[in-house]
Amino acid sequence: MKTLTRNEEQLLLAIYHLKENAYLVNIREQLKDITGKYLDVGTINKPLKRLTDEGYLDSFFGDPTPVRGGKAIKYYSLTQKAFDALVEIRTLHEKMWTNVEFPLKRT
Amino acid sequence: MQNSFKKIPAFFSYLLDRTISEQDSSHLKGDFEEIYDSLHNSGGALKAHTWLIRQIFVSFFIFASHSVKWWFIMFKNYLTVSLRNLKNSKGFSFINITGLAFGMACCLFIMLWVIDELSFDRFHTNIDRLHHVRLNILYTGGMTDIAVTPAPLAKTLKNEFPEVEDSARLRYQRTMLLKGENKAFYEPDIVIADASFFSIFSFPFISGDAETALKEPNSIVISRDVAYKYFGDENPVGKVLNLNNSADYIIKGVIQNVPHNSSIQFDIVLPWSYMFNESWYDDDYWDSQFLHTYVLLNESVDWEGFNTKIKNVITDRLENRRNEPVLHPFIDIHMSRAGEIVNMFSILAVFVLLIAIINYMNLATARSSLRAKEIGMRKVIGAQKANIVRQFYIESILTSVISMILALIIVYLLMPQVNDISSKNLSLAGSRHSEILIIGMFLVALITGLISGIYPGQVLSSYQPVKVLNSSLSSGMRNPLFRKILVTMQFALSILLVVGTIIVNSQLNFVKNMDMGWEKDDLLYINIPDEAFPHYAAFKNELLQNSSVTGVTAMQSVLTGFGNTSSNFHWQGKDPDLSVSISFSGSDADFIETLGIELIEGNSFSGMEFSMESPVIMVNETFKNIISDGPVSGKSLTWGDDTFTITGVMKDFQIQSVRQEIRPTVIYLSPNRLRYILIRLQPENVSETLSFIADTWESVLPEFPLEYRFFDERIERLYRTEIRISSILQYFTGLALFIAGLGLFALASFTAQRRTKEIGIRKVMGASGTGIVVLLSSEFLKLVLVANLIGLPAAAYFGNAWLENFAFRYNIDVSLFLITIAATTLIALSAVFQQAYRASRANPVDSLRHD
Repeated sequence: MKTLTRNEEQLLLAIYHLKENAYLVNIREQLKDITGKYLDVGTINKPLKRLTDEGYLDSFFGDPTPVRGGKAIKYYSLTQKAFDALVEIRTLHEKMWTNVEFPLKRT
Repeated sequence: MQNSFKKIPAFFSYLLDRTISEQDSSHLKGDFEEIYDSLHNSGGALKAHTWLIRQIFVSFFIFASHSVKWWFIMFKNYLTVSLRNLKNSKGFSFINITGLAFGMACCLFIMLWVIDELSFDRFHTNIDRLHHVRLNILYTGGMTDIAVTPAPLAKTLKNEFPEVEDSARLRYQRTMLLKGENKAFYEPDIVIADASFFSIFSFPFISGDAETALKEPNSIVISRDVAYKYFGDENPVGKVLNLNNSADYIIKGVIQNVPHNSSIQFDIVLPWSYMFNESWYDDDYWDSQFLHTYVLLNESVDWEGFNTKIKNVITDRLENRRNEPVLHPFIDIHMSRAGEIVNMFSILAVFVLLIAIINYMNLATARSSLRAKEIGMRKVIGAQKANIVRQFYIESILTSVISMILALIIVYLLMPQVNDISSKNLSLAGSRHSEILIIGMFLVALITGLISGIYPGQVLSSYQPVKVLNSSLSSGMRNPLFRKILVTMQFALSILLVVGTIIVNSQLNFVKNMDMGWEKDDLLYINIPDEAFPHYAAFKNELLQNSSVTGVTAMQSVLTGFGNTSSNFHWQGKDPDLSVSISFSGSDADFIETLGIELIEGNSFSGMEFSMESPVIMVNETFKNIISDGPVSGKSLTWGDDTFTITGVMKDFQIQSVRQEIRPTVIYLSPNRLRYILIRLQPENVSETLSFIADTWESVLPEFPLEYRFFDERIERLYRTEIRISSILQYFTGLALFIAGLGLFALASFTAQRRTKEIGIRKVMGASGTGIVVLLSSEFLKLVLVANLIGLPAAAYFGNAWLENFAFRYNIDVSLFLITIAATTLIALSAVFQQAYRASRANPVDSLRHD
């Protein structure tokens, strides 16, 4: 299994946080809360699509609502594979940071 | 909340739809709407829009690269399929490509031609301000427009009108004998010009100064070729050329050879002062027109307005004349001569191409049944209609591009022949405007491809897959009416060409064999320089000793073109308002006898001697009818200051191309200033007579070389344009018939193939072989007959319009139409018959066995 990139990691975590409310607009807000800036719609949509194709995400459509011009919402949820990947990357991070004293010092 | 919801404006919404890929569209658009709405609510319209534009802008490049990539992938597929189709049906592809290639080659040739014609005279730097002055001669009941003007006009225009920056006169001179250091040649292309000639026109000098080259009275300017002919590689400036064994001229300048696309053609230029050698010449005489006047207007002068200003310049100086000078832009001169032919040939080239395009459309639709299954399959697999349409367009464009390449090869190979026929100097590589040519070629290929793709593309792409895949019925004869119309059109166009060719040819023959009023066979003429003329009488006497020479005379103008006209003739009882322009020429005594012109009244000059006191003149019939209803011999005719006695009336004779009516003409007895010796020979032993003439000349006039010509050649030259039109038309027609025949052949073979089963059944039921041949060929022959019904009246109309150009024309008769009908039927039959015959001979067992 390949290691997730930082981008993918952020996306998956955002979806994890949002639970059943995970769709593009919310994901964008969530990411803004974490990183401090808004991303372009395409910059979010593209990896979402790829992650879906690669089996990290499931997607389903909500009912069309009059808000949003009557268009349905596409919701995303994490698959087992995504959970595994997140666990893996978390472990990786921890391994990397163990025995590193904080704050860092220049030698 | 719902009410305040902000929708994305329609324009952005459209852009979004275009850029969002299809499977994403709905929900993603929703996301956009939502974000837009919230931005709108929080930050206002401006912020929302800025954001939206940024989003679209960012995705645009990705979108563009995507579509280009897919377009390429599909294009490759279309190309593969197209090539496969071309290969699979070699016969049809061959016919399509050959037809289109020849059609395009015609177009390319015409394009080269037009480019060449349009380049005429453009090399003059002042071309926009240069004008040629023509003369409208108004007389009772009409107007003649002539290109020549009186001598003082040029300087008057320059001196009296501030609009004129400069002016120049030009006169074409007849052949002269030039002697260099040790070489002598007769030079035919000599002009006399004012010193300003080289400053208003831009003929580049190789050496010498354009401004001063013609200032001195004894200076001469020659072209590079002439310089080389007399002096080889030496610099000729400052050397001496002797004219007609009399005067020496110093070469003051050498110019580049006058390019072929100049409407003024010459090799040698003499200064205007040469004119004063002519005893009759008067620099201030307004009532004789014999030279060309060119003016260079100042910047921003409106020449049309200027025309009204100079209207009365001549009339003010000449009583009883209404001669109005009219400026014609120099740049239009060539097109006004050549425009008609250029238009005609352009239309013809398009005709030929059109016939080839129709072939393509016809064959493509005829073979549609073979493609129907393919189209059905494509649609089932997921092709949109647009894909199929594109497939067909790419096929036709591919065909037309291949044809274009072939057309280039054809043009390259046939270039020498075409130059020969058209007497042009065209070339593909050396074309001055190759960029126009390349764009033109590209456009022709594209347009041809698009036009030929329209029908198959639009019709075949709309096949319903369910129908074509399901039915085992052949849909090959779908829409036969459309195909019939196309074939009829093709043949109607061909018929137009055939009739056109026949009409032009018949007119040409008519003209060549027409009774010109004088005998043109066995007549030769010698150009005799003025300096040699004193020996003419001796020469004539010597010649007449020989019985093979039946007549000798001399004339002032060459017989096939009296360039000189005068309107200064008066007679008793002349209507004072009448002003007619009369052609004139001086001649020796035996004029009408030598030429074989019929005398219808009075006496000829035969046996008469010239006397200053009582000059004599003869008039032609046309002029006689203007003077009086009764006999005119013995009456007197005043010309300027001289009074002539009319000795007799000649039957009308043709001295111009038959495009023109016979003009009133006079011939006066003159002892000098005769320039052409005319000699009538016995038709037998011509070569011996010729050597006798050469020997006699040698003994009488040793210092002048002899150069003679037969009149037949001169007459051919009168009809150069018609001969050229005729031969080019023949090629066009041949090609059109060939291409149309090819198309019909292919169509017939295809129909026969598709109808094998039907024919088999017919035969089993007892149809005879002949019956089947008739059945198959009559279908096409009917179309050809209908085409005749359309084409013949149209052709008759255009043919008559063309014949209107001629004062003398042959009458179109029924046999022409019968010949055309027979010829087209024959061609159609020969294209169809073999197929029909083969189909009729096929064994029905073979064709029916499969089911």
